[in-house]
Amino acid sequence: MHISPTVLQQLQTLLGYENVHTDAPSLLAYAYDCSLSRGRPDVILHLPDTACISPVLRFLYAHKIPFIPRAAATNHAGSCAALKGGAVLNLTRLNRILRINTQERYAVAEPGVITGQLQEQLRPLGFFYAPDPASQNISTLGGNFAQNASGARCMKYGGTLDHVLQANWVFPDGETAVFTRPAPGPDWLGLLAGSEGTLGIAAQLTVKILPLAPHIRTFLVSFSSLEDCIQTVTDLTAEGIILRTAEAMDQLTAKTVEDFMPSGYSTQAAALLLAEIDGSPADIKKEETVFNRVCRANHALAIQSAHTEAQRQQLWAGRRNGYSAMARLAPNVMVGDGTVPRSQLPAALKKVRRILQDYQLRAGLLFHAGDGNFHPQVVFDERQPLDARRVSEAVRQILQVCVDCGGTVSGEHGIGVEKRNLMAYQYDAPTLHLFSAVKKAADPQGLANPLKIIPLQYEEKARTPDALPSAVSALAENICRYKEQKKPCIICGLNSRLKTKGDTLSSRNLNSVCEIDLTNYTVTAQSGVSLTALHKALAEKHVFCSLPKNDKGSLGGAFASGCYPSFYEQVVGIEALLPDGSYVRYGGKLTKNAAGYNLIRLFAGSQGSLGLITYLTFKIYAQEPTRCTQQPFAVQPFDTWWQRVKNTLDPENLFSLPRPLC
Amino acid sequence: MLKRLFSARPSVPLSFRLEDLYDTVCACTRCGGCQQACPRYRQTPLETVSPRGQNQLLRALLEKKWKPAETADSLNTVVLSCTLCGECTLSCAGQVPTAKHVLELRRALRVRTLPFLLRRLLNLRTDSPRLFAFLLHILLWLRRMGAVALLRSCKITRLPFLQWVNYADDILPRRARVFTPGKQNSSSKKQLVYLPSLEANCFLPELAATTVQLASHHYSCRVWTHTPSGLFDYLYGDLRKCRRTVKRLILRHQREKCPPVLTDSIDVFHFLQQMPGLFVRYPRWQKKAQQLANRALFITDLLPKKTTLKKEFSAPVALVSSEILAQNPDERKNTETILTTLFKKNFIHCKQQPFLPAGGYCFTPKADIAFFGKEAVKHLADEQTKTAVTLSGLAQLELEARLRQLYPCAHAVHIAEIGEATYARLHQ
Repeated sequence: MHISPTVLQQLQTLLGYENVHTDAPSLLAYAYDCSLSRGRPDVILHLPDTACISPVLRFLYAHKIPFIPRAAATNHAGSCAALKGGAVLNLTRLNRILRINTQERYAVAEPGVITGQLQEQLRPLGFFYAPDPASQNISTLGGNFAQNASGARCMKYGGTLDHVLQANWVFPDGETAVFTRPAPGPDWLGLLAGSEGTLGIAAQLTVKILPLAPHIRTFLVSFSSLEDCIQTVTDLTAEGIILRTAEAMDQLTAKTVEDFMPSGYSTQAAALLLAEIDGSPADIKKEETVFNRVCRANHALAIQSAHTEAQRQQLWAGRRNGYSAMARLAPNVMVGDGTVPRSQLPAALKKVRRILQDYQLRAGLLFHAGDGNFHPQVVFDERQPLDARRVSEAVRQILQVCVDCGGTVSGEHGIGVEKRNLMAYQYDAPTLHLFSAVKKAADPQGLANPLKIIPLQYEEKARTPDALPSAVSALAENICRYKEQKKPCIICGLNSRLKTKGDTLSSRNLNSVCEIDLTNYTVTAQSGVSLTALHKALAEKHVFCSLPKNDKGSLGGAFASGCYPSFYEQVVGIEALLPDGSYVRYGGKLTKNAAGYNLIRLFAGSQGSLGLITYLTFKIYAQEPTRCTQQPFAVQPFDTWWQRVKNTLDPENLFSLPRPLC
Repeated sequence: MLKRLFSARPSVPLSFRLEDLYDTVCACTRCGGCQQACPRYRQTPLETVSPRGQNQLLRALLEKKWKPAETADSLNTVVLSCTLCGECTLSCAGQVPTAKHVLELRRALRVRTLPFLLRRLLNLRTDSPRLFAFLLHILLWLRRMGAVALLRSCKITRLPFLQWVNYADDILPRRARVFTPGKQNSSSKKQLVYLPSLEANCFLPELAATTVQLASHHYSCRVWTHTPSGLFDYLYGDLRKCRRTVKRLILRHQREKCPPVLTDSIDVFHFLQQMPGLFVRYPRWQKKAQQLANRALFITDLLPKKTTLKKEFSAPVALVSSEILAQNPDERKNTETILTTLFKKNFIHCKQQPFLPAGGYCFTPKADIAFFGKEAVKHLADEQTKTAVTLSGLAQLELEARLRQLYPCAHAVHIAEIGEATYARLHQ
């Protein structure tokens, strides 16, 4: 697009002459990220401080100039490519750590702070920031939040999404808002995490910090099969051991790594597991005994344990240099990011190997065994068009395999433009339409990082939705009836909290526990099931969930009422009916999902204002976990942003509940 | 200042040998692993000055996706921003030699060719060292008297025939003394050739003398005074001239039956090691250059890695990095091992390695050198360092000046001085 000289001049007045660049080298240098995608912007705006984000966005919005927020641009998804031209907002200068409070355990930082630098500042204080993406020494906090990056420690500590406590948010039109956690209403922070700059920009982030683990024990275990390796992680979870990290690699990768940097990895074993446990010395000793027993029961060939920090670093050296080892084999490395339920990992990896063989590609397979996230690192030369096409096709098929196995096309890297078309393979039209509606609520003109995440013309390409269960279709019919009559209704579960006598649409008929999966340690239940019944069903299988036992309400009510904010991070899959009668499905038995906006957090605490939740899938444990603390129930007033989303999803205010004014 | 100088000059058409560069440029996967290693990027986090950005710009140029002639100004600024330190290569998964790419780009754009008069002056160092020393003394005297500053403030040095004064003022150190080797005794020890760097030859004769003394503990040392290594030509002149210089060096080395070649500058050492790369198209010469590269030694190779000093050095010491074209971290690791052995806990591992660009070689603008110098001194002061060890005489000169100005309780020493002090203690 063309930006007129007058507009440029106004931008120079706003930001200073030296912060507005339109010269060819600058435009070229900001046209790429770590992916193969390119998009040349029309102007580069270097933001000197956080205060100027809002006026700049307001100006760009008024002049209908698309903009792309960009920090270190280390993502593999093409999220920073300026597909429609416009302005690239360089956030790397916003790199101040503003506060570290070890008493309250939080740190406040600007979005351009390098994650590794924050870790370095925290270490001498005896604290750490849990998300540890492999790129943490070069990627930024803002970038990590925008992509919802996680890392090796995700299995135990969760991803970026769960570690941000507050964000000073600037919407695409320049409006500002402060989102905190916990707060009444939907978990907006959860929704904004992973939005890849399509919903606005975080001007400041407050992140949770944790005390450093006093003792860590690292193990390298070799197995004769991949199945044994995965089964070990599952059995350890069944024993109540949540590993700090559970990194694995196949034989080919181990050989490549060992050639590049000898780290003592066995090149004979079919799979290697690099696992860590942390805690007090007594806990570690107890868990080590269990760990050894479980590994032996799963036919481990060798168990190597690091007793000193030097030994630990040596074991990690191979894993950390996995990318470097592959990068030296060819000019380009395409890193995949498919995620499947842990139980599906061996089957998925077998199919992936076959695809790689069919396309005659060389690739290393590294994976986070704990959460089913695997990274095929395919080496190729992008200058050979045929090679590049073959690799793209192979990666596409690999990600389709992930979806077929009940997984997702992205676990932690995001969608950007590289996997945009695959979103139509993973989601059906109503779900994609909901993504689109969320985007529209925040950015009606579609100027914030345009053409990302949501596939173009998705109605034609989207996967065919599965048939609805009879109880759900009855509810859908009811909603359609209300819609035809333009009659508002109140969404409720067992009506234990609302105690309303109005016209309600209840999920009480959806009252079964569908599946308790003891491999992935998840349970799928209908939203109308009472918590008492749920606990009873779980007790029969000797497993536990974090919801309290004394609540008389339904599962859906516990999730949507906002009474248990700490339960949100336990939920991994959701299905819901929308006010227009359409049915959306998001997530599954997955610990990680960075494909699209996080709909779980959209419906969490939404109090039936945005949709009727039908199914929930959430984590369960082999040992009793800490119970979620209960907040008193109150009907929450809509704030500005909630109202905007509500108006977009339910313009006729069909799902209405009398609410106090904000 | 440099920007102004270069913007006056029209850009020239590029004349790359594509096949030489294109492969390594394309090896950059844009992962960004180099970003935080680059001192320049850390200073101004701009993609254009980052190693990744420079590789992508060069790639676009090679693929003819844009015309440099249209944007001479900004391109010149971009290519001049690199300090050529090579830290990016050390941190790169694919070991992409970005510093070399930038150097080639500068060569192609001719933004690093020295003005004629200055080139003539510097060439005198080999042709007529005495005249060179005399002229240098006059220049430095003029500078001390404030004549250069006056000329520059009046902007008279913008005149084409006086532009070289700007260059000279930017790159020449503050003092100059020419090294004259003492009488060279032949002994039964193994032969070694000492190839003094430009700075040891012309500005720091005491460094050359210390190095000779250090070498004489193990070897019978012969000095090749005023013999250019070719590094200066490689950085400033054209490649043909550089090859000619190197060939002369190789022939002399072979004539003297390939003895080990010691140098006092880490930059010259890196250059000697990478010398075979100059003769990719000439396999015979490449083989000979490889022989010379294999025989190259740096000061740290003469120092004991394990000593039995009764008392370690007590002053807190830190290592200041300043090398250019670094491609493997072994030399720095070597130095760190030696310093740890000698100083034990008094050797300070700074949180961030103090860095000072080799101003004379990398052609970094003066303002930027001042910035880096200030940052390096800040790191040294943070750690309360008393002694800053450098691996080249040029860095020592530059750092000494900064320390005198900003942190006078510390001083800069060359690693050779540490080595000599070690031997003195061992012999006590």
